[in-house]
Amino acid sequence: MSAQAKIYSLFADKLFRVCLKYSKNYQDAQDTLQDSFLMIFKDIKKFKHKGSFEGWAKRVTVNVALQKFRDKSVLQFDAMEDSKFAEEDVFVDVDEKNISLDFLLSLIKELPPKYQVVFNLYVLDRYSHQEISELLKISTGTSKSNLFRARKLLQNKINNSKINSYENKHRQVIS
Amino acid sequence: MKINIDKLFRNKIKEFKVTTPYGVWSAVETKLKRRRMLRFFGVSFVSLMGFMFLFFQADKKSTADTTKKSTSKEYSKNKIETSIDNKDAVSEKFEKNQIKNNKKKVVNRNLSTNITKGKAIYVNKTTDVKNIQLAAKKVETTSFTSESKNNQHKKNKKIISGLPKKHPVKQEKSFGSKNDSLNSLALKKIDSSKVLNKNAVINEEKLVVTEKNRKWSITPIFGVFNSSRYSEISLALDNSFEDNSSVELPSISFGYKLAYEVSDKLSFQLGIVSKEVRFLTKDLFLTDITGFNSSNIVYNPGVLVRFSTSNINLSGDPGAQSVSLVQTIGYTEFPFEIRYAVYNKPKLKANFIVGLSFLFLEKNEIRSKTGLFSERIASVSNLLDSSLSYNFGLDIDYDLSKRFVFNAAIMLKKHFNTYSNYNNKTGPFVRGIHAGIGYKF
Repeated sequence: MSAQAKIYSLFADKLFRVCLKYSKNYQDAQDTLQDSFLMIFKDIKKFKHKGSFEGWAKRVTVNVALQKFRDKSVLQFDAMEDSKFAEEDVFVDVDEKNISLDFLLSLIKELPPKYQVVFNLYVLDRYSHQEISELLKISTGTSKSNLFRARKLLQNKINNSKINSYENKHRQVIS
Repeated sequence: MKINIDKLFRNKIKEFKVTTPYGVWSAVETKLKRRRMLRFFGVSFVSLMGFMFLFFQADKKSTADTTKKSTSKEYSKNKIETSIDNKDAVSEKFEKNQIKNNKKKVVNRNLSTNITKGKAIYVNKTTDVKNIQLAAKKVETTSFTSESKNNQHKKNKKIISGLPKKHPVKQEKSFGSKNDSLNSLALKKIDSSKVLNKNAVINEEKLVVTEKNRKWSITPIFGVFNSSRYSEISLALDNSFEDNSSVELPSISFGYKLAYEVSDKLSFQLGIVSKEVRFLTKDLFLTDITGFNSSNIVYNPGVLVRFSTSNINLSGDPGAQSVSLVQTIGYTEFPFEIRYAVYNKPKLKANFIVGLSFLFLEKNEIRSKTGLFSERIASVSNLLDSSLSYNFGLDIDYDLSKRFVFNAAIMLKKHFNTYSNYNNKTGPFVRGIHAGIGYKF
């Protein structure tokens, strides 16, 4: 097995997870994974052994995924964003066990791209606002406000889905 | 129960486990190969352009030198002709002036002769006045009319007596005769033309030498090879395949060859070649994964079948069960070879070739080939990334023109250091031909 095939077999699943988070569908995620590996093999000499290879490969994958957003011109941030409530935590009143991962991922995909990207980067991939601002070439304030809006939208969607599921159950009981 | 939305997502994402779809690696590998090929051709193209550029630069320089030489020849030729014309003009003038003023004529003539010769007028202390007087008399008797003889003689005496005694004028050999100086110039002209002709001959010789001196040649080559091994073919794949019959498979090679002619007999050549070595192992079966381990074959992720020597534990269409294994090993080859001419005629040359190649592994694949499908499913783990081959062969060079040469070679290449865990007997050897049209520079 060639060295490239070994790298692929070691990291493909992990990177495909990243791709799925940033892609609209399974097919897009496959394309992103493919492009990410091509980029990884092209730039592998740039890996300076500072930190893990997996971390570096994930960053490359995130960059490739973001580039796809940019190519589609859907990643446009407003210059002036309100960061008034940016630091505020957002809570939902749900039973964690009753919520599936697929449902949560579908909620993320329903977000506008700018909120989706910032939420993914900050919450799921643990980037700091500083890193996000450098990556997306926006201010930290914009990053914070986009994160806050993403959280609020997700909160509303979860609450709505809760109501809907209650209504559905209620209807089923009545019928 | 209230929960932080970030925590909710983070907790759930931990459960997120996916399996990568099977087709992605094939697509990545195909694109990587395409990129490698593009890089190879890009580098080859740039090298070729570089050589062409260097060649044309050298060609321009030699053309410029030739032009410069011919210009300087033209210049010297013109110079000589001009000085001859000047001489004639001066002489005519001299003849006209002779009648008017003898003394003036003598001095002028001396001056003009010296000027046309490009020499400075100088005065020699050792020359005495008598010689000058005799010379003046000689001029009088040969060139002047009797009418003006006495006057001229007196004037000559006057002028000569007027000259400072310490610095008498030297009598030049050319002083007395116009024809002498013209003859000498004519001789000079003949000599110059001789020199010109000589230079032209030298230049022609140089051109011939330059044409002969095209010692470099670059040849894009394309070849067809057959691969084999001295020992059982299948051992290097798997110990259990020892009894399986094997077939040699033809493969192709292509690349560039750069040759330098050291002498008429000896030349060196190096190159870059992409080549494949292919083997077919017959009489195998496909089985499922359970309880089967292969010694050197590494199956691609997601492949759920294995090669087996026995027809057991099989499922599915019987037509798909019997299978042949096609192994392809691709190399980028860097040959370094010496050619010795065993037959050397102006247009045709035959050379004996000996050398070695550095081989870098580029492709390592195993395909399963049945009556229904042919699919890449594995690679082998015991191939070394770099290996060597010893090369022997014969080639011919046939000159198509001054610049282009047709080259064809029959080669035998024995590979060494191919596998990490087998001796060199199992290493493949290839035999075949390659040919191409080379450009000499």
